[in-house]
Amino acid sequence: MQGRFGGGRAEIDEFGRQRRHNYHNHGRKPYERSGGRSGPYRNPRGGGRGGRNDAGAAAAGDASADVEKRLSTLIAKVGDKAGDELRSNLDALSGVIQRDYSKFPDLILKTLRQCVLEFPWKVTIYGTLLGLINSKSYDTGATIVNSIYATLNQKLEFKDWSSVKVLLRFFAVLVSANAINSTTMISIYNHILKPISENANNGGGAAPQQSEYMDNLVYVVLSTLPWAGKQLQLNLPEELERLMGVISTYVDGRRSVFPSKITHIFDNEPSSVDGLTWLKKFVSVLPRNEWNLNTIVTPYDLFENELSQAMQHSFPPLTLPPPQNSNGSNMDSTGLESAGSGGYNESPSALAYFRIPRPTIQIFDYDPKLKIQRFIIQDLITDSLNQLDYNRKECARCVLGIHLLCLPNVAKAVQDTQPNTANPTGAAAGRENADGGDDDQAVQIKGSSEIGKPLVIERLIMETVLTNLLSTPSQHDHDIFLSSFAVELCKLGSDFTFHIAGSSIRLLYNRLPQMDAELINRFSDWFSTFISNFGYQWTWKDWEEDIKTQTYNAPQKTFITESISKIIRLSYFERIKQIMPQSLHQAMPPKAPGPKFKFTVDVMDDRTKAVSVAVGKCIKAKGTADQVNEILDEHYGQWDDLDDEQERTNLAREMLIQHVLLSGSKTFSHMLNAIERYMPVLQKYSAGSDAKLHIAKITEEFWILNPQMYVITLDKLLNYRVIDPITVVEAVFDAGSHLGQWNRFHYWEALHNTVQKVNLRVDQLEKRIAEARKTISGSSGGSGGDGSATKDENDMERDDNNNNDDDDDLVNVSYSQIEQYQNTLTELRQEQKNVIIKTIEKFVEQLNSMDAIVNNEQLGNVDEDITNNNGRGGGHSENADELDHWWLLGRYREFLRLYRQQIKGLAVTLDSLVFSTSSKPELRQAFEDICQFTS
Amino acid sequence: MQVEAGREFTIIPRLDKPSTYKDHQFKGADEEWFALLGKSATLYVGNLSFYTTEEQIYELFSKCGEIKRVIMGLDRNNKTPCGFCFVEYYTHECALKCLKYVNGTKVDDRIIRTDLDPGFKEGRQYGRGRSGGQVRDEYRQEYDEGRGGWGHIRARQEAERRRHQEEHYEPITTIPAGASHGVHSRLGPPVLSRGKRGFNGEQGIQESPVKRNRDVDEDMGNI
Repeated sequence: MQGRFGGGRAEIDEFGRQRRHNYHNHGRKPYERSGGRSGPYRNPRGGGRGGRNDAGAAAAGDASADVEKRLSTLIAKVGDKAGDELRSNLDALSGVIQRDYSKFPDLILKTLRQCVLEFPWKVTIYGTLLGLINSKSYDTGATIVNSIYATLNQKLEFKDWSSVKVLLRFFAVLVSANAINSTTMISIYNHILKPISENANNGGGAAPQQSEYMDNLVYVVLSTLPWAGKQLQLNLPEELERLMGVISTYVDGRRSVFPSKITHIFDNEPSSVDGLTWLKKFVSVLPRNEWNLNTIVTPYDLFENELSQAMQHSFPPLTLPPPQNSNGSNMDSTGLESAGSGGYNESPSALAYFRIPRPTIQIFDYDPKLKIQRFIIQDLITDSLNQLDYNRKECARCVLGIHLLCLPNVAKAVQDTQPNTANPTGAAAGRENADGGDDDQAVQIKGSSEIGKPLVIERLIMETVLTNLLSTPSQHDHDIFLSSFAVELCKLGSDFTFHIAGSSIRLLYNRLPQMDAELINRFSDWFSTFISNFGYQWTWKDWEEDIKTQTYNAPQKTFITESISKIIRLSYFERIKQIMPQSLHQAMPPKAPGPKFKFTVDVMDDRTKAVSVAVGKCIKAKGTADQVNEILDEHYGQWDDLDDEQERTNLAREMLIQHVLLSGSKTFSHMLNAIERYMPVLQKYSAGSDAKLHIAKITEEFWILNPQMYVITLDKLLNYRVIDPITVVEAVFDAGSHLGQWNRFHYWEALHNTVQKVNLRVDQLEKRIAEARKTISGSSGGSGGDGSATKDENDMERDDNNNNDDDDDLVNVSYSQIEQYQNTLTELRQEQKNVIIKTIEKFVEQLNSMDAIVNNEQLGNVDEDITNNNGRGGGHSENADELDHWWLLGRYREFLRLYRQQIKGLAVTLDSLVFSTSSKPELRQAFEDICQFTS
Repeated sequence: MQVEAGREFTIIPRLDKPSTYKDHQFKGADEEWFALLGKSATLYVGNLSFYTTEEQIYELFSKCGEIKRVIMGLDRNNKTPCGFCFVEYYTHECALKCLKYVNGTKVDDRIIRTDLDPGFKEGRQYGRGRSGGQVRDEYRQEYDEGRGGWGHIRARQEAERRRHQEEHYEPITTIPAGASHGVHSRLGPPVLSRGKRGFNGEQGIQESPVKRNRDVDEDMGNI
């Protein structure tokens, strides 16, 4: 890979860019691990980059800058690995920091802060380091601790829950490092839990409140408590008990089990799949083990004497953010989760996708004795994925080394174990009831082959990645990160890593019959992107039996056919056909995706042929929209035998659309061009909702063999406003014409693209209005400088003649502009509502009518059982109609989950309009559950 | 922390920062170039196979957000794709997401490179190498060799694709403007005026900085 652009490796990175940072240690990044870990963790193609010695590599140059770099490198690298030298390294580094702090205060502060934030798994290292600094100099310790506390406050304000959690864990460790005392820690926790305890006190018999905001507050406390538990138990047992009491009251009173199983990954999961409920259960058994985590090294134990002489710090109360904007979803750049009606969120809410993690899906066996360790490590992996999502490569490198900080025999990398012994992949044998691993009995049976063996870091990572991927409600923003991350993981790791990734995919594949419909789609997308990075190498043959025997729309077969369809889109037909074994060819489309033009010569009567030839010639010669319009008028005007004007218009419309699409069928750009060029005539023929639906249906027929272009064309027709968002909804549900095909993915792709587009429009306009408002307040305040910073694109356009504008003029323009924006916003919001309501209406209508079919065929008690088995019996129905119903029901649930904020906002309308008595109880239940869930 | 992205100091470098590359044909100061990148929704995509289609690019890149348009880089003489393209999103955030999650992954078995770009200008879709393609054309050979070369089957496929492309490929003559969002279309024409003070409108394809000098030399010769 390297050297492809010529030149030496040290000067350019793998993309041929000049390295921006030339560290004194010859291009090695400051956080990279030192030589001890050369081997598979380094990019095996990385040549001689590993194992170089720092000593003597100091480049000439600015001496002070060099010292700074050296210092930050030391801080970033300390404790990458547990070992004998850890004690002396920490001791020496704390001495250096204490000595040099006055010289480089900013550097040391920000480096330490970032180390804590970016390396969550090294929390005991940095906790100890800070404890040591503190014991050497109380003042320096105070400055650093207070600065990190200020960061905690800030992250809390931004509702950056992941960072809050990481920082709280750090403070929890500081208790053991004797930099703060137990009372301080308890008071931090109490501050955070204040809304919860107040709520509980005020409640007095009233129904306990719950919200995503409160959930997050409880989560950050509960998930970090294990790290302080031991000290708190020792010093303040009553306070700890009281704290646990507050948490328990909240968690137990909270509704987390929904009859419709709307948040389940698998429909045979145990009921306790809720992350918070599970976590509470987990933490409440830790006291039995005296809060011993026994996972990561605890170097503060090595410094008992030094640390015992230190003095502790205390802090002012934390400021909690207001709960109002707690969904934080307005910041979602894809507009996926946008509440729309939620106003503009001004504070930068990080991680719009933050969700309380579920108990990890257990894919591999492990020694049940390591249950706590498994949780702790996966918790650290989860945080690392959240904290380092901006650099997937380094993130992968980092998490692949977490086991290096573990106590002996806790965790290992796969190549350190013996892969040739029995059960090399560690596949969990009985997977029926494996989730959460909270059933000790089950684990013991399953874990038999793993007894006495350490955890395997790659397995833990893959389980975490896949749990993240398959979380409900969705974290769409994260999907592409999770594919790219898994790719980096396999590139960095050994061949065994790839092997483990493969095993986890195969094992999850086995559970597809129980998996939620949306998640099957997501898993398929992830899988196809993942293998597209490895030349589509896969054990395709394993699936030939399923292709041969399963119903066309069974979950596994659908996964295979849709994944193949996806990789054809990522690659091209012939290549994929070449790769697939013969036995899988029937899972592929019969030929390469292409257009299906209706007006081919041999199937037309003469006069149709005449129009087609005329229109075709005109378009081919790049005729104008007017010319095409004239041809259509002229020809169809002569078709006197058709009395109905409407019928003639319909024929003309089909002729027009087919030809325009044909002329744009070469590439995506050609399609845009074709639509742009014939816009006026397209507009003429798209007046009214029937006409628009007709256009959508012609488009579908034209691209029947190319799902991707079907989706893209609809999307672009929508952009150019040839069709409306409602058109897409109607087209997807059109009179049951997709009956029997609800397992196909692309209809839903079209639907979600549309809803997201509508949401994005609202979001963007809201942002624009907010910016315009800022501009006004800026300029009326008299400071022109502020105004220029918030200029939107429109302002840019006026830049040239803007110089003479006085402030008054600018304000006037903006006020009228804002009014215009507001009017548009009202329209867009109405459209947004209509789309949601219409879609739910259609879902319910369609599902109701399908229930009739399913019920007629099944002389059974579907009605009663339907919420329990999703109408698929034991999950293995081979009845195509039943499966079709199951898919549509799954997509309904997906829709509810994805747009739950909006749906909740429209609950009253939906309730009276859609969920009248005629709708099936299961549909209503799901709707009620999602409203309840979205509190 | 989307809003502050890039400005915050991090130990592990962010992948959603523009590279140090600056188009030598850009008529403005460095700060101006980087200010434009700071709000750009356009990406330059390099190291593509000549046979990679717009649809393949669309498939992968749309995972980071809706794509406004894709502009294939063409050989100046043959008007066939020559291994790079521009992808234009609707928002800057999508472009950043792409730098984080798509840059450095594979399309058509090749590791692609993406970088922020101030925005497409007519003329920039053409290669500026001597032969009409990209200057680094020869390096493509080196890269393939570095990957062990194509297998026989693959080579035959490539030849077949080439034949197919030569028969069927038809370059578009007018670059579409791309639909503006509903917001824009109701409030006036799409905003395409970025970089008003920017380029001379000619050429200006990005290259890796390592090769930039050679680029400059060759292009100077051409102008």
